[in-house]
Parts: sequence; C-alpha cells; structure tokens
Amino acid sequence: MMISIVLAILALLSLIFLIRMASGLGWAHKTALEDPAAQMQLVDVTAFRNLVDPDEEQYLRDYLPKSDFNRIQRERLRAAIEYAACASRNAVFLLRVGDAARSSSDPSLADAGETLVADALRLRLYAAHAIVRLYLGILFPRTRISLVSVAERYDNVLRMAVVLQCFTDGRTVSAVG
Amino acid sequence: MSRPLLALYYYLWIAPHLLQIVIAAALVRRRMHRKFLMFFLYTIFELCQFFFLLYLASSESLRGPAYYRAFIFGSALSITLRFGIIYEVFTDLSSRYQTIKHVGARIFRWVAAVLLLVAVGLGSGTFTPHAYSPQATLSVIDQTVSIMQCGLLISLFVFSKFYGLVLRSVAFGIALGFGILECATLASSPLRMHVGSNNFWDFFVMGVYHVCVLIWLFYVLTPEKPGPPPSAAKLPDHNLDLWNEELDKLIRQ
Repeated sequence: MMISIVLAILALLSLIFLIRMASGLGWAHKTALEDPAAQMQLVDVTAFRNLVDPDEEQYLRDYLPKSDFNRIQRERLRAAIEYAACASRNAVFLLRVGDAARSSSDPSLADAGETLVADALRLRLYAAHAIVRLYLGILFPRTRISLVSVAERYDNVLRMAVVLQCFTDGRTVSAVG
Repeated sequence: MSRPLLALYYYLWIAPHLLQIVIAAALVRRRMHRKFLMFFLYTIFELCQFFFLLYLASSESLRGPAYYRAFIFGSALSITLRFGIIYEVFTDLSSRYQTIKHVGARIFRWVAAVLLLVAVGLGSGTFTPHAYSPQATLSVIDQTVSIMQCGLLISLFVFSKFYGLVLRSVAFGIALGFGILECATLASSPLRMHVGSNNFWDFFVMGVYHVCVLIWLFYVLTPEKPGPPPSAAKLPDHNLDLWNEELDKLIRQ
C-alpha cells in the first residue's frame, strides 16, 4: 500500500512539474523573440579566458599560500561559472533567432540561421559540461583544471560572422517572413 | 449509479471520442496525418475501439467477457501506439535540430532503460499475488507502462527546456496531452489496485482523458504561427565562436 501511495504522490508531483515546465516552454517561445538584443547579456570572453587561464592559475599557485590560493581559486571559478552560464543563456536567445531565420525564404539567410542554431546548441552543451567541471574545481581547488592543449577551432567561424552580419543588417527584416 | 452520474459517465465516454473525429479530420485537412502518423493512427484506433466497445456494451449477448477481452486487446494496441507517438514527437524535435540528434537519442535510450528497470521493480513491489485478478494484472501493466511513458515525456520536456528547443505547436500539444494522461493513469492505477475499482477512478481517468482530447483538439486546430522575424536592431557582440572554442578547451582537458 505504501508503494502505491508514494507512486500516486509522485505522479501528482510529476503532473504539476509537467504543467509548469510546459507553460514555461510556451511562455519562452512567445517572449524570446520579442527582442533578443534586449534579453541577451554581454559577456566578456577575454575575462572568462583569463579566469581559466592555466598560466594565471599556475602563477597564483606558485606565489600564494595554500589557503589563499584555495579561496581565490574558488572565487575565480565562481566568476567563470557566471560567465559560462550567461553565455549559455544567450545561446538560447540566439537559437530562437536562428530558428526564425532558417524558415526564411532567402536561402542564404536560412543557411545562416541553420548554422547559428547548430552553433548555439553546441555552445549550450559545452557550457553545461564546462559548468560541471568548474563546480568540481570549486570542490577541489587544488586540482588543475588548466588547459593542456589548444583545441581546434571550429571551421564555421567565418560562416558565423556572415550570420551575424545578416542579423545586424537591415535587409534581414525584409528577407524573413 | 444515479441518473445524473450515469449521464456524466456516458458524456465522459462518448464526448471525447466524438471530438477525436474532429481531430482526425483536422489532421487530414491540415495534411499533418503523415507527419504525425502514429498520433493519427492512435486517434483512428481509439475511435474504432470506441464504436466496437459501444456495440458490445449495447448488445445483451456480447456484454461481459467479450467486452472485457476486446478492452484488453484494445489497451495493448493503444499502449504500443502511445510509445510510437512519443518516438514520433522526439523524431519531430530531433529532425529540426540535427546537432543534438545523436545526443538526444542516446539520452532517451538510457532514460528508457532506467525507467523500464524502475517500472518493473515498482510493478513487482505493488503486485500482490494473493489478490490476483485480471483487473489487478491490468492495473500493474497500466502502472508499468505509465511510469515509462510519463518518464519519457517528462524527459522530453526537460531536454527541450535545457537546450531551449521549441517543439512544433502540434507536437507540443500531443506531448502535453499524453504527459497529463500518463501522470493521471500513474496516480490512479496503484490506488485502484489497492482500494479496488470504483466509480471515482473511472470518472477521474475519463475526465482527464477528456481534458487531454481538448488539449489535442486545441493544438491541432490552432494554426502554426511563424515566429516573428529577427529584429533589425543590432545584437550585442556575443562571440559565439570564441565561446565555443573556450568551453571546448575546458571540457577537453
């Protein structure tokens, strides 16, 4: 009987969760495209790069007492998490922009939208992984989370530039819809 | 059963199926019956099953075991079609976002495997052999399937929310309707098994089914609105490529 009651309560909680989540998705869909520029937050990639820079970390490790290093490293990682989370949120808005653009009748704009969607999704995934790693870094500040190799750049940087150019260009308005 | 309750019972039994005729017609009219084939088949199947069961229930000689057998057979087919619908909604979503197709498929396989284990475990926990009856067996199967389908649908919504994906309006409505239906079935099945079948649970599940049919009807009839065009206002610099590069570096360490 106990399992049945627990199951019934879980089912009701699932129902509430589902309705809340569904209404949230519906709301996000309606509002996200109203003004992406206003909803996006500017995030400084240089500052983020500095916060996860291995040389910077090594320097602090060498010159600071252990306890100070732990405290400062935690603060740096917390700040890095903020940056990554912010970029991740921006990715959702860019995804919506890309979504709208790819239904355009203009093939070049549609292609650009497709690329933007793919890149934004990739960013969202990477950001999630990175945030987990950064949290682990906060838990274990002595563990090195520095970069050991330079990962290959994406080959779509140029296309992304085109996308951004399209979106900031006035002709976007007449080409879409 | 008193006369008003009997009227309500027949209303809750008949009305949703009449509305399903409208849903099927709207799907064909909007040429969505091929895109959401499983949902279309489910709707048609529910209609056929309803009319067949109505015929059996109204016939003195066929009422009873024949009705029950037809109901069981119908439930089994309905369960299969509902799994197909969940897969269909997921396919619709992943076909629009190719980047996450493989990640999504992998996540769903794992979620399905875990849910199956949990559902079978809980099913064996709630099943009482000494109180064996076809009704109890049916409730356990109902509960097991509901856990899986409810879990898969919630995962679908969580997955969409996490990535900020937008489900097509019809797919969203279908998923929402089935999610609500499965949660309600999951809430009622185990309690029905212990408390015993009574009118309350019948009314509860039938009422929820009616609500779900209304949700499907709303989303099937509402035309898909294209999103507003991207703003001409200058977007702030977001350095998406640089961000991807930096985060990629970080997770590859």
